[in-house]
Amino acid sequence: MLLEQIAPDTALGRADSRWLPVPPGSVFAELQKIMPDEIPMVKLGLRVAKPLMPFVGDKPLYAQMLDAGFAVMGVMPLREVLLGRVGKLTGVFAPEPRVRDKRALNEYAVPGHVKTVLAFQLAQEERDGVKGTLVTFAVRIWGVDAKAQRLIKLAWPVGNAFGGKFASAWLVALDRRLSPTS
Amino acid sequence: MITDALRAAIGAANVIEDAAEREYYSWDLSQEPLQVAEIVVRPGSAEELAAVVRIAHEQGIPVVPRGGGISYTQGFEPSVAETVLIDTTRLKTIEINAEDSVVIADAGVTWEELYLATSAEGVRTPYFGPLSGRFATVGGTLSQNSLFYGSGLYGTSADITTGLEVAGVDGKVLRTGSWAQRNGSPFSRYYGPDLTSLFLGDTGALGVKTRAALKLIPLPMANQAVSFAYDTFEQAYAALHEAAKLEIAAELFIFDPANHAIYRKLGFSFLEGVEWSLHFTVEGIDDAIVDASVDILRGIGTRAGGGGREIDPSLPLAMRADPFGGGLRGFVGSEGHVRLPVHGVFPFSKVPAAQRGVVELIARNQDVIDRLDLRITFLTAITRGYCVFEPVVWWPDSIGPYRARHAPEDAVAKFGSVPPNLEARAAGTGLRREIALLMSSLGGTHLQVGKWYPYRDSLEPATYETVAAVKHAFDPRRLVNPGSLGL
Repeated sequence: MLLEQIAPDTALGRADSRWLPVPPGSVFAELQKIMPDEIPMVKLGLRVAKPLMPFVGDKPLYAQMLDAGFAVMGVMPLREVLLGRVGKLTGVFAPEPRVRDKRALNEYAVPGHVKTVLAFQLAQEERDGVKGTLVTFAVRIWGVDAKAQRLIKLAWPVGNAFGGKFASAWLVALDRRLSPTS
Repeated sequence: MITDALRAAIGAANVIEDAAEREYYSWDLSQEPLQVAEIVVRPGSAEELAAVVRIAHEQGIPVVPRGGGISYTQGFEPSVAETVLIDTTRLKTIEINAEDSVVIADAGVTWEELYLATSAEGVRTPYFGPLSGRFATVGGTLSQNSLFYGSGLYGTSADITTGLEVAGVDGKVLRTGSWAQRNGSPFSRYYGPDLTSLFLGDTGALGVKTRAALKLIPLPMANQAVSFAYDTFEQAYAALHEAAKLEIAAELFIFDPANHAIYRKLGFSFLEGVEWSLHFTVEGIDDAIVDASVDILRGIGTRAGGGGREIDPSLPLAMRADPFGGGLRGFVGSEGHVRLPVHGVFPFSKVPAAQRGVVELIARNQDVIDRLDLRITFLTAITRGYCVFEPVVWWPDSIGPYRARHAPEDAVAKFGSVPPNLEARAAGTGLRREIALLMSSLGGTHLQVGKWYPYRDSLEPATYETVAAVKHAFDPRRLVNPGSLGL
């Protein structure tokens, strides 16, 4: 997987998966359409604390992540797409600085910054005779220097919990779109 | 009665007589329908398909093969109403022979299905499909010929074909290349005269493809891209041309400002203010090899054509991530326009003249274009050794039966009830034809010739007579896709 190639062993991270009874192409097409109001915590945030939210309500989340500086770091057709960016821990969704590709991400070395990569991974998997796709939403985050890494470790329990909720909600939203009867 | 014979051969459920269904199967995306087939059949195997062709031939009824249905040059539209249209999409067998680097795919396998099956085994066809590969089938694509994914390195769909199996009008099945050797297999296209080539790009005029053998390569494990912005098409094309000659990029293409507007809405906001963008995708067995090629292309992109500005390569990478996802969405615009490409295949030297010619044609028709809300955008893409220049004409119109069934739900919900706009349609289709004639006048050739491009009029007489003689040898009564290639 591309994620394992780019993130160092010291990176913190998590992965959430869900099996969907559809082929991988449908998943990639649909995951890019998820809107903010399909993620409960984002919907709530936009309602009660809109100025603090890094999202707007009327644009797909995937598009907003690209707007916010995430760039496509690598792909395997119909298997994995890897988004990545650098930033301050307090500004993961701030638009600057930007790195445009995997090599630039690897080489970025400004102290105090963190590197974040998100992977959407798809694996063909048959369950109970039904062909489907195991969708995994994985994240890795690591610091450029020791100080940034320490800060990440401190913040990780909160980030992990938040990330887990966010990823699970995204996968549920995807499931709702692709299997309306589920 | 042919209906009874067909039902007996392939099962009653696979013989369709419903009027709406026959209309759906008979019309392509061109907005220029010909006839509606009398019967649509859906054989489930190569043997059933051959039986259908034989039965129709015995009764003197034309047959027309149809793949995914996503073409737009009337290739599978019946030219006469008394036609049996053969939907090949139930033919789904895939046999992977990784040891011999060959896959045999039924005609009805889509490129997405083929990619998923082969990549699961660690291999892939070198050219691995068109942008419409979620729908486009192997049989349909080989009949039309096509390019995009992998084409910068490996050429078109025809270039990766090692053999074909074709049902002739008498129901006999013909194999080509080394596949025709009595004890052989389809490892090589060449064994005596190259019969495979006769059926590639024939738009189904010479026989009905049942199976195809295609080359395999190890699945490239590294994919990267590099993109540039330019002020003019000429600048972008100069860089594209220089890079294309090296044959190190798998995909090479230029987008125009109108394409950027579409992608900006999808989150590619870095395209704001970009006039013309040039994109290269590079693939290989590991990052080191790929990075070396990216560096070479970066050098070309920032120097050639007066020097481009490197931009985020997320767009070509996102396209590769979901390679076949953009296909049908691209035929329905976000403001209810239907979009139809028209292209010319050119040597590198002729593309700037073709682009200038189309710009001048637009200027001459600007009043009509503005009044009827027409638009024209450009895609320029490379296959190994030459270039496809493809203007896309847009106009507001009803979306038609194929788009209504297969376009994304949101597009259908929004635009499914848009009424026909016959004036805009006449102007749009007219512009397409003018562009096609312009391409022909510049020496351009075409993929998916179908019944739409002026193949017959563009060929030297002696060559066309030879093609007609070949048609006569295979199909003396003109019962296989009559009208295709003008035959």
